[in-house]
Amino acid sequence: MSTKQKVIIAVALTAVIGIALRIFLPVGTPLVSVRAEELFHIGGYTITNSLVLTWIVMALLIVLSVIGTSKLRSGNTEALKHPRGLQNALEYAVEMFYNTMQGVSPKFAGRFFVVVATIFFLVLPSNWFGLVPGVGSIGLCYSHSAEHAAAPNYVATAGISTDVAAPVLAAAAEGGNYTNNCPSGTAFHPFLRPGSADLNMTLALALISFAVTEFWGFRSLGFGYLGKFFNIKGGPIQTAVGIIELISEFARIVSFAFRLFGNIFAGEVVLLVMAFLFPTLLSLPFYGLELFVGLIQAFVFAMLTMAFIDMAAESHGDHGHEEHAH
Amino acid sequence: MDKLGVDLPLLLSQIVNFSLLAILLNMFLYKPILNALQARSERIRESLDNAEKVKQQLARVDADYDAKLQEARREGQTIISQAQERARAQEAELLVVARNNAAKIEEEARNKAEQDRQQMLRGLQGQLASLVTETASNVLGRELQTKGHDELINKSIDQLGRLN
Repeated sequence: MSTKQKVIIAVALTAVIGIALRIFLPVGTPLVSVRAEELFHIGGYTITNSLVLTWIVMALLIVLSVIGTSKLRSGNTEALKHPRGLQNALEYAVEMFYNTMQGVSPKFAGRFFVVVATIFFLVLPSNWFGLVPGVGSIGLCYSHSAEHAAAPNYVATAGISTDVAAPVLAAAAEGGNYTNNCPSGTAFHPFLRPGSADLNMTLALALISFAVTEFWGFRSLGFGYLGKFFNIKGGPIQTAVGIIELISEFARIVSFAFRLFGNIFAGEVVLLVMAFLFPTLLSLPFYGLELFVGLIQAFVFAMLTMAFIDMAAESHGDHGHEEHAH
Repeated sequence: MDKLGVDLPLLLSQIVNFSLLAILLNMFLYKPILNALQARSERIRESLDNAEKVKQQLARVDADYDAKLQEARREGQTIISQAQERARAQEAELLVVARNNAAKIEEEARNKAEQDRQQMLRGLQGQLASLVTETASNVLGRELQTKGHDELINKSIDQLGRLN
């Protein structure tokens, strides 16, 4: 059997499975929620599904690091000479990222590596976790009225379900009469949601990136750093440029937060819609695309932070063009 | 902002999450690995330096060896030539001594032979004289008186000696 025939058979089989799924498994209307869904409350604090997944990612990262570097931290010379297994993989990742950051900012890569690398290593698994089957699709139906109560009213569980919106958006989409695997009056809350598809996390990262950048600007240039924004001596044009710089400085927070959020959230929605339109087959190419987008967005966030830190330390007048990602 | 799900406690908790993660990863991931990478690159540099040093040392030892060999060869050459010279001088000296000795021995031998001959001649002369006189007396029948004929005898001996 030639490769071509194999491909054709695989595609046909997937199509058949897709059609069967479409017919026999009722799929709810794809509804999306921009906000992370609440799962439960602990002592007055709301715990959302994105927070839970962020904790899972953090725990995974920390456990992997502790295991992977245990030999190195104990001063094992054999591990230093011959890295293998997990340690080798971690070394490869850290070294490659470090070298890339050094390419962006040779002077400050070492100093700000902790911040930039943590952004990268937190965002990347967060992005990719959204692609794991079950994340965003396994959950419970929560009663609207009980949503803010201490104990939510579990109504029914759905085997396969699509993301369901918060009441406001759902009502807007369906005229208040949406049919879903959840009974009416309840909303589906998935247990897990990638952190980068929640504005709280992307905004938090953007604020950290902004704070570090401004801190470094003041630290390296003193109050002369403000001369970049309030340049009255340079004439009216320089004054106007300074004001634009000031606006763009703060606009970065928004662009950082929404770039990551938008990309990952939109990826989730695209996968959802494709799965709704035609199960299995149509989402496949988008899975590849989303894998790529997840990597690129994590990288862009970290690299832009590094670039902005580097630019903040330059005195005004000789800073280059800001890099814009998609 | 509320519609977008932005909520201050959640935002703060994410900032805390990030800070915690940064601290822990710095402790367990970045620091050990970056230190290891640095230690490794230092070790590599050291090894390369050492290799360079060893190579230089080897070259130096090689050059030393060559120089020593050269020197030894030169020394050997001088020793040999000196020995040869000395041998030649000695040879010449020995030759001279031998020649002298030989000459002396020859001289002595010659002298001795001459002396012997003289002695023998002298003995012979005496014997001859007595023999001659005896023979002559036998022939003449009478004993020649030694006295008075000495002149004659000596004359004949002289003739004999000249004949010899």
